[in-house]
Amino acid sequence: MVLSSISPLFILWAIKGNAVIPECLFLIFCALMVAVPNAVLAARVWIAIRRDDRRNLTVSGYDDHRAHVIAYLFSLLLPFYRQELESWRDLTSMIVALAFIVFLFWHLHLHYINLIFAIFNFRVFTIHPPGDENPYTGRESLVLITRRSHIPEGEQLTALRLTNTLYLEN
Amino acid sequence: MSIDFDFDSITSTEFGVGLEENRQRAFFVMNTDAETKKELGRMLVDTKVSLENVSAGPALYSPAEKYSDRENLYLPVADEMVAQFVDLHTASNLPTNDEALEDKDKIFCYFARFTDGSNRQVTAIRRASQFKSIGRRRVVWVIDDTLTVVDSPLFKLDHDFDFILDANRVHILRPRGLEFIGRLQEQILAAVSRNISVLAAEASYVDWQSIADYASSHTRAARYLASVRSAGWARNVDRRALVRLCRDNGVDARVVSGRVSIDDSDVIGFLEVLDRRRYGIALVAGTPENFRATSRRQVNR
Repeated sequence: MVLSSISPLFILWAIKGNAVIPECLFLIFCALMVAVPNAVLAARVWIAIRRDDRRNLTVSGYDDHRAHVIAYLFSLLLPFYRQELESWRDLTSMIVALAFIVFLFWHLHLHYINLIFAIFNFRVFTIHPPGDENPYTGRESLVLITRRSHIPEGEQLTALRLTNTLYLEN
Repeated sequence: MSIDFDFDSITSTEFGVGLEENRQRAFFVMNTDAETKKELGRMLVDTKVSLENVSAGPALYSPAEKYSDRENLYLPVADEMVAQFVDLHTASNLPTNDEALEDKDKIFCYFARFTDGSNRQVTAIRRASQFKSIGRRRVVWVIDDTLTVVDSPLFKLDHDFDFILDANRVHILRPRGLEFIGRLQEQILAAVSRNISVLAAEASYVDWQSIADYASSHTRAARYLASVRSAGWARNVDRRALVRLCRDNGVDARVVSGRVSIDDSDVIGFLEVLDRRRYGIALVAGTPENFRATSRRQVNR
């Protein structure tokens, strides 16, 4: 999911090109970095559908992170895109910086910043569990990818499980 | 009352296990594939059929009753004995734990929560005795006409569940399973003082203190107390009739200053009288016969 969310960067890089790696190899690399994560994500969705891997979730409240897409553009896409790759040192520092960003995205569960989902009119919400006194109710917030624009409080919905914290309502 | 659920339109199935460590319990959901979900659905239906096949019932569960392995019993969801199961039934967004099966000794039960097309939910629970890994035993599998040892851990589902919760009741197929999973014995002992308070209000002419002291450390007495309280057997009991019935059944019930007093040695007998387990018949003239019933059902006229 995280690699899928940075796939637009590789599209931009493929268009921009570089001065270090042979063009053909670089294009193949960018194509793989776009295709493979998104294929894996699509496969994950397909497997979840096939296995009927669904859960009932109760939504007490939610946060809409659409505004974070702007932060994603300015903190990730633009700086990395503008970086010129004129030497191996530039390339190495770029890869290491990108690795840090990917790790941070993964660690902070920021994988909801995904332009692919946005293109298909999915919104990504962080849903919060009910704050009831039931000792067994889960306390962790979850990420829900949905086409809804609004989720009423207390709504019970069924969603596909992509990971233990990421769900898709299709 | 039948189970409030449409067994032919199960729309979602959630499977999980209960873990216990240092007497702290937690319930976790585990991810399962479609085939496992179908199998759990079959278990649910088999449980329903087994309940229906019990000839008598459904009857209200009594902690003092001796039951066979399979019964058709129920408890209302408001009963405090099943409070933890009701919490499990109504809990939202149960946490996931893919490693819950790693330490099988901590697993005390497994459960499945089902939702039907009308959004009604049932929770079915089973004691985890057979579910735990059978990996210690060597299991061989036939693959391509060849016997092969299976190295990965295996977990065996049972044929049915011990009990099922719906919106109104806990439907009990195996009372022992309910008692084990619910730690009912501990709950019953812990409820002695609460039960005594209720009974003291209903039958104030009895000296309940000595009975409370005895029942606090004797499970059977605590069970009888719980049974008498939950059935309301102490309400409107005539003092004279109670004393007479006690004496007819060999229970020394002394009346001191208008209060019925019971020694430790007679506490069980006294509670059995109150719990409608001691009775006499006079079929033979001049020869009264008294009996003690370990299990009884009220016959309504």
